[in-house]
Amino acid sequence: MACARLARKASAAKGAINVIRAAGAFALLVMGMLAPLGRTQQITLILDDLTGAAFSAQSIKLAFVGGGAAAIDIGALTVGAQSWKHIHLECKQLALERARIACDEGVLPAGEKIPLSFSYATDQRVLSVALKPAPDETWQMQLRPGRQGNDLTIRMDGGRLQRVAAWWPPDLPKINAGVVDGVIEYEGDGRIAAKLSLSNAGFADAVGLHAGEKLGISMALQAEPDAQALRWRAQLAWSAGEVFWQPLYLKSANQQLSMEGRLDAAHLRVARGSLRYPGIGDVTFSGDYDLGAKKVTGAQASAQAIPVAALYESVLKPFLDGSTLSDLRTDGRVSAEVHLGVDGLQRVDVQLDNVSLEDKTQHRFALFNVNGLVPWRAREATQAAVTVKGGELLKMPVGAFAVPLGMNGMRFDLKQLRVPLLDGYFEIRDFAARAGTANWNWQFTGDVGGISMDKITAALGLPVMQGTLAATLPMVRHIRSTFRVDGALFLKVFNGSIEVKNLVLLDLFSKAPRVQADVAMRNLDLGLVTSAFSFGNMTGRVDARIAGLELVNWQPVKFDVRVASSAGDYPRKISQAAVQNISALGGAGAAAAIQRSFLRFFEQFGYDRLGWSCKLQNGLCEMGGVEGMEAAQGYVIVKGGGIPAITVMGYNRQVSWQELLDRLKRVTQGNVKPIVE
Amino acid sequence: MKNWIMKTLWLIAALFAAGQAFAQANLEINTPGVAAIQGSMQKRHGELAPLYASGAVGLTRDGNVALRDPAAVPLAQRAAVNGLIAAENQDRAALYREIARANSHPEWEGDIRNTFGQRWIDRAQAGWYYQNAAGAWTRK
Repeated sequence: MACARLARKASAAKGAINVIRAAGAFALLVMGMLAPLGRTQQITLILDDLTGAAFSAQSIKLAFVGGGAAAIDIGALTVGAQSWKHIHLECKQLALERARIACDEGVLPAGEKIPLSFSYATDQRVLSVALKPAPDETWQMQLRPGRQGNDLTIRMDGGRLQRVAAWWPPDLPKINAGVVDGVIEYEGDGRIAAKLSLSNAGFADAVGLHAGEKLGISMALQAEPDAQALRWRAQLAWSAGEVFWQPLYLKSANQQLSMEGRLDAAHLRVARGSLRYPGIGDVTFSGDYDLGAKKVTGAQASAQAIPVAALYESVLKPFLDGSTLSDLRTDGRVSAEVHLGVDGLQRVDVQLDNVSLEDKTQHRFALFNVNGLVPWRAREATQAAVTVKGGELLKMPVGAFAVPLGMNGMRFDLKQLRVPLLDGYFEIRDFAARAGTANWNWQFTGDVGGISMDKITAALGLPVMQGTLAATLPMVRHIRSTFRVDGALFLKVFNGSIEVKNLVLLDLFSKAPRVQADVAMRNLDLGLVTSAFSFGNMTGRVDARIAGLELVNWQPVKFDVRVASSAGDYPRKISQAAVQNISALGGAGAAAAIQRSFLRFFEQFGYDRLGWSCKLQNGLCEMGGVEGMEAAQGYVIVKGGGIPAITVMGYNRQVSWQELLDRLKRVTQGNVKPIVE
Repeated sequence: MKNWIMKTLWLIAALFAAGQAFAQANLEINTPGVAAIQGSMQKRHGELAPLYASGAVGLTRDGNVALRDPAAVPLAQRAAVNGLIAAENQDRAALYREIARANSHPEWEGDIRNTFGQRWIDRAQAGWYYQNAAGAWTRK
């Protein structure tokens, strides 16, 4: 009985094999090894090379075990661009009929046991395979004769994306979630049509710099052979989820990407592409990618009238984090066209249309209504024509100006830029910037003129001073993070002059910027200085020399300052209030002494010379007075002269810098005693 | 031969002296620069502390902070957290440099960084993550 059953099965198998051979699409090698008919009854068939459009199965081995069950081993299976090796299937009941070979309850042991069914309709030559790894997940494949060769259809219903993660390129972030539904159709003549939709998809890399969550994306792809290439069209729509691609964070807003082009063995070409980004605008692009060299060999992109505010918030801001442009209010529109060649960026044209930007919370700067064209070329000298209607600098109004920026590759020059500021101007000349290896190096000269001191000091929140600000900026260089001023910076203030030499600014944009300089002030009008700082009126002129000035975070940490009456003949008067305040520099006492004495009846005193020095180091100020008038018990700050005259002495040689500043603020009692002559 | 021994002894003595010199560094030195950086770090600490506690951010061996567990930070906050980490590391580098400068020994910056690296870990709260000597993340 058993023998008869086995004979029937062997005959059915032979029939099926004959059908496959007749189909002509398969090469068949039958080795039909009939096992000895004993207790382990088994038939092993070896088939070879099952091929169709985008599909091939090689070295197929069927082993019939008892009870209608069979084991199938496939040496190599290729579907589309993916290949698998040594696939083993187990079939509980392999039906071998004249017109049909079928396995309804098979298992693919691939880590987990995946339920599988397949059937082959021998007359229609249609092979259908279905995998059902989960109750709500089906992967179906159908291979059938088409107009030209065999056609292949792959249908996914609730397909888990992690199943394809193993074939994902290892240098891309790993797929960690998601479901795919849709159909991929390969036709024997080389045409491909795919419609897929991904839902709840996710990806991430190990370091957390690139990740996507809950992504919903629908895709459509059509391709057809054209000469030696493939002509293709693709559409993508992003309808759900979020992506973080350091430093960008993007949320789905129904962004749509459509592209068409050609693909051959050496190149992937996008002939026409467009990205529609709701809220920002449309970008059209094209490009060429060299598959062998793995690089873009040419590309161009253009976008028209993009709103700057949306572009800044969604795209630019994350790249500017930590810079002075990280918190802006922006407005206007910008159009741009970019061309890339084999050697990188070749051409950028930017058209600015009423662009405004404003430092939103700190109000350090603002530019309003910037218009013009910036035509940059990698290997050609060009000139930008940009106009600015107005702006603000440290809350001071800036007038209209033009920026005639010269460009030549990574070299930028500005012959002259004159910016109206308050009632004067500042001018930058011979500005030149070059891209260094790590950062930009630049230099310029210039001057500041015609700005009323009262206006600029009021605007900067400083004590209001009189006069006109004029300054000459010698060569200023910025190399790495250091600004260096070659030559002397010259300012005219308080009817005198200030000369700053050896000025160096280190780490200017850090938390602890450092400034080093030597400063010489000459012939400052004491009347203007004292009225500016509400110090109590003094008349006369002073020179001040600050050697080795060092500021950290704009606070002095080291200097050697000497203040002395200027040489020459001029009225020298000092008010009672000024005496009190000067006294405060030396310590407690003088104010009380003056008030107790009859001198309180005098508003003003005469003096001959005044002098004060402070050598600051480690938070301590080592003080002295008029040079050459050192006394054993103290030092002379104001040497009396005329009638009524007053001499102010200081006794404290050392004082903490902070304490000195506090004293200046408080003007308290001290041990400075006025001596009436 | 004798010359060689003498040279080696000198080298050992010099290295010992260098170590001794660094040991004298005043790590508590207060300058306007140190104060400005510490102020900035203190302001940021309020934002970093919950990230240390959740294990998203940990303390590295070399006196920096790093994103340890990206999954603990929602995508929308990822850029901000990376920004916080970058700003913190920038401040820490500036602090080590400033303390070295204030000690008038800019060349001590590396030693100061290492000392601080250990100090931050010692002062970390229980539950925070730090890199151990082998570079592996460890929960305190």
